[in-house]
Amino acid sequence: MTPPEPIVSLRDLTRRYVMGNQPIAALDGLTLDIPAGQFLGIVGRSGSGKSTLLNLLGGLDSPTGGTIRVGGMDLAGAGSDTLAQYRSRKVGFIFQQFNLVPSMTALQNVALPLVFAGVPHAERRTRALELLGRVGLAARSGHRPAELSGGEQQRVAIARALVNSPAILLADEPTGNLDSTSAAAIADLLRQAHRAGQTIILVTHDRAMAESLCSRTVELRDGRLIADSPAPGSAA
Amino acid sequence: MRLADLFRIALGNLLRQKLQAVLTVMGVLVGTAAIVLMVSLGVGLQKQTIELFNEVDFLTTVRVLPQKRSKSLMTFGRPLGPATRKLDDTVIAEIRALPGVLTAYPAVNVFTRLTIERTVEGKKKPLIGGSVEYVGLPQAGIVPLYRNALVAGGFWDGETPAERCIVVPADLLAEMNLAPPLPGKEAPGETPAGRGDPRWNAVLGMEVRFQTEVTVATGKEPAEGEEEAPDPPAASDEDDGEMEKTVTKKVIRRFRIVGIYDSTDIGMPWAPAVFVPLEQGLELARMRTARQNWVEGGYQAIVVKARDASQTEGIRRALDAQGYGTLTVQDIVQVIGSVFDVLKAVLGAVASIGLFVAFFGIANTMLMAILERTREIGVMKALGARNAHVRRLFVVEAAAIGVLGGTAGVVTGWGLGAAFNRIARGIVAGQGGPENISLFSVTPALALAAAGFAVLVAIAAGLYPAWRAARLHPVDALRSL
Ligand SMILES: Nc1ncnc2c1ncn2[C@@H]1O[C@H](COP(=O)(O)OP(=O)(O)OP(=O)(O)O)[C@@H](O)[C@H]1O
Ligand SMILES: [Mg+2]
Repeated sequence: MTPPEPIVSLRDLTRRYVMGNQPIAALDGLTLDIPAGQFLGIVGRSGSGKSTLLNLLGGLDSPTGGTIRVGGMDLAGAGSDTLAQYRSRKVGFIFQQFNLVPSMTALQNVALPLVFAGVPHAERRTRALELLGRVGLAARSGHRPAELSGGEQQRVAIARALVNSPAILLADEPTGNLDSTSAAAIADLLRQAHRAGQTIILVTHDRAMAESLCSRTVELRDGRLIADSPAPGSAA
Repeated sequence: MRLADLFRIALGNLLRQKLQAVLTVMGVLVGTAAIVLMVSLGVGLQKQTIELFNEVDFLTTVRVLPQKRSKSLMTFGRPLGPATRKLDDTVIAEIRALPGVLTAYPAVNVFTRLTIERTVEGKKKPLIGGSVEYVGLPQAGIVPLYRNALVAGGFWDGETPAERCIVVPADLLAEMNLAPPLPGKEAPGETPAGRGDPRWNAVLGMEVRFQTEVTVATGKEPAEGEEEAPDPPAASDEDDGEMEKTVTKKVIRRFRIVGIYDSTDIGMPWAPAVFVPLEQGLELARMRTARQNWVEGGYQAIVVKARDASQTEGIRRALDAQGYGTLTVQDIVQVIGSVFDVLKAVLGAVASIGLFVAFFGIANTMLMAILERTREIGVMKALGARNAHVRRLFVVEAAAIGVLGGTAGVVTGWGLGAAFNRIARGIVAGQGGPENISLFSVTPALALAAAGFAVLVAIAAGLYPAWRAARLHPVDALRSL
């Protein structure tokens, strides 16, 4: 039995910044395959390049070297419209700061990715309500972010990230701003999504959280991969 | 992204900073209202002016010229080039035979100030009044409109009476304090004089003095009636091979006032007609225009009177087809229209300064909005918004400012104009002027153009901010506060 084509395939991926005269390699020749359905944890100390990697995976940024393929699509040379379309169809983002649109209700926030995808109003509403129900906030659909707790806001954000059925879910420190109870609820939701077959890539400082949630954890340091456990090929 | 969503989100964004939005919209409102007010003043004045030409006397008159009229705006419809058709009595006879023609006769075409001579202590003293046009009339040209306008005396009998006679407008006499005002035009405390009031009789019999200068070659006897010494020699004729001396002589003709008429509905208000017998008028014209562009032996113009206004255009077309130049009140209205078009453009341009200022207000508001919403723009991009989506959101938001301000501005400008009209009517009516004048007139086209211009300005102001917003790098935008 041949292993299935990985959903994410990185080869020698490099992202350099030039500050003044001094180049900084936020990612330095990273090579990594991520099979579909995996729950990958990315750990590493501050400044090691975790967010940089996530931004590249999400098509928010472009590499300065190497290749990055997600779902068979080459992101390295893609233009801004192609990347926007990629984000619209293939990716769901969860941020540390929740990043809900403050002027919109929970329902409108969840439906927003479908607005940019051109989905008709009625269909958007049904789908957004369904997702809000899944994160246990159906009753709060008419509330604005300012009327929700941090944990509730992040649950809305998870609903929003999943509303377009993305190929990969990207979460950058999703529990970084939350108390332990709320963090546990978020972890639960991620676990549920993973069980349903969702590919998830989670960036976290919290090694314990990574180990309890993820099927695989990689560690970055100075933009390089320094640990990968369990090693690829071993059972997930 | 669907159009309905685009508008819904953009409008929602605009209403997030309500005070800011209201202030920016106010800028557009003031600018648009200024344009509407100023241009509607131009439109109103144009309508008032054109109204003056809506008189039977004008609407039934075609002037026939010996040359084709220019269609160019720059020459204001004046004839161009040399005379091509000789206008003589044969032509007049032909024109009289055309269907719909009441009468036709040569035009005198002399404009001057009305001068009336009074005898004070045995000496003749001239009193100079307003501008008039000398109109020469054959008996057939004394239409019922003119006869019905008489308030004292009458027209002369026969085509060429032995004595020079003249019919003068009552208003000018009142202005010169020679006669009482007509009913409706009296100042407070004055008693107006109607038809047959004996006070008119003091004027009947007074003499109107017409004075001009003619250039004659020395040695030749000038026509009868010259007075006083000649002025210093004037320029000599240059195309004449031999040097022939010429002198300028003052010539005076005196006309006895036989009739007084109410000029309200007749002729041009700024130069009402004084009527004289045709031949006597033509004599004045020949003296005045001796060196002008007459076709040898022809008249300068022919006045054609239609039986009624509906036949005027048909007559003019028939004459056009025969190669004459023709002039009707429609041409004058057209020229006036084009003059007012220029005036309206100038007024509109001056008033546009308001929208020019509003342009910067909108641009500023939009740039501030981008600063406030930078992170949100990053979020939208992360959620799949294309650059074009972001750009459109901001352009539509700016356009919405234009739509709101433009609409409110049109309504405000219209309301202010209506208020000014009321005030103006009060003042004009108090002075015995016409009722229902509209100094400010807002046409649907003006309202649409002003609102449309406001929207265009707003969109233009939003273009650069929108472009900036669309161009934001998603990662940088997400990292901002
Ligand atoms: N826009 C940028 N310009 C210059 N350098 C940058 C930029 N973005 C990131 N870097 C640098 O790249 C390196 C990696 O940054 P990154 O944000 O990926 O780290 P991280 O692992 O996410 O850290 P943290 O855990 O603190 O979030 C850092 O040294 C950072 O200073
Ligand atoms: Mg980070």
